[in-house]
Amino acid sequence: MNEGIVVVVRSVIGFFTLLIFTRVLGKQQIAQLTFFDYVLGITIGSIAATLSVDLSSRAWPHWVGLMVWAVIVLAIQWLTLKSRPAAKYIVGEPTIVIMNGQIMEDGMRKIRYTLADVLHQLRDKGIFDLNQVGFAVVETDGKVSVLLKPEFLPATPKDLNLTTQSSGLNSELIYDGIIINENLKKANVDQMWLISELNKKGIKQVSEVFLATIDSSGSLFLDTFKDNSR
Amino acid sequence: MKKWIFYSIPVFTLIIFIAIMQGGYYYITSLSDKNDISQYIERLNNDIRFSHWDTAREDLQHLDVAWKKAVPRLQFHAEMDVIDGIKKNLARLSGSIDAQDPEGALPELRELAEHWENLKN
Repeated sequence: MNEGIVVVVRSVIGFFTLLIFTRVLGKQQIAQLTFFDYVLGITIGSIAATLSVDLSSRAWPHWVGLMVWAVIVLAIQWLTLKSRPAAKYIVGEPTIVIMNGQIMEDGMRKIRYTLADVLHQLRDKGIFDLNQVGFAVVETDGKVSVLLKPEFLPATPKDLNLTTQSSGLNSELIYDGIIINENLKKANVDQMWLISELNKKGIKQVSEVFLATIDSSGSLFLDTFKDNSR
Repeated sequence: MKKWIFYSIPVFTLIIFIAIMQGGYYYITSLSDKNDISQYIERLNNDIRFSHWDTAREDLQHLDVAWKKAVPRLQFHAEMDVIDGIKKNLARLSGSIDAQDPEGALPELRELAEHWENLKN
């Protein structure tokens, strides 16, 4: 028995099984990491680690364990998507900890959140004065969302009656010295136009360009391999 | 990427993984007569009981060859302790047969048989 080869094969099995299962479980795991999801991730990771290197036990039971945990997570995700009461019961609800500038002690006690925790999260958001806070809500993942009192909210272009233009999403026309023809068509421009734009900026070859993007207004951003600041 | 390719890659990968992990089990249960380890264990048991030490030595050699052929196919399925256990059993059994000692050989053979049965689980 070659232990090295067995570990390599078992590690490959563990790695790709984890990859497949996490892809199946979706982005929710990463985006809304609740405490339970965190523990869940550690448990699943620990099973995969044992599957990989613990040669004193067979790989199969660990793999089955991994699959069962992933299937349960998937089932709970499905249930929380389909049923609102189930989601409320399993995932919980956001809790208001500051309402109209008043600290809600009962709400904080229920979720075992201390004032120090709230103040920490507020400072994290750049709020050092409680007088500025209209509402603070502890989300199901433990993070605090804050709504400032109207007088402390930053002014927006709308408040100032300013007209704005939507910049839209940039699309890449050249990446790593190669023209992306698909994006040229989407942006309604052609290679001739692109090359003339490059010439205007003193660039003779497309291969000199690391990145060229265009926004919805037709404005071009260029970055060459040659950095002037060097 | 076409939808069926997108789904079939992970499914196919998982099937391969299952085959690697469980392949050893099917190998054990489908051994031919020439490599049937249970058969050699049974033969050795009779050889030792009736003190046929020359045939015991021959059967042990066959068992050893069959076991060495089986290990590469079993290594992803079996526990390392069981594989090591069988290796030790074979070494001790060889010593007991050389010494023509049935009291040493029979317990080793029984333990070896037990390890082999464990691999089928």
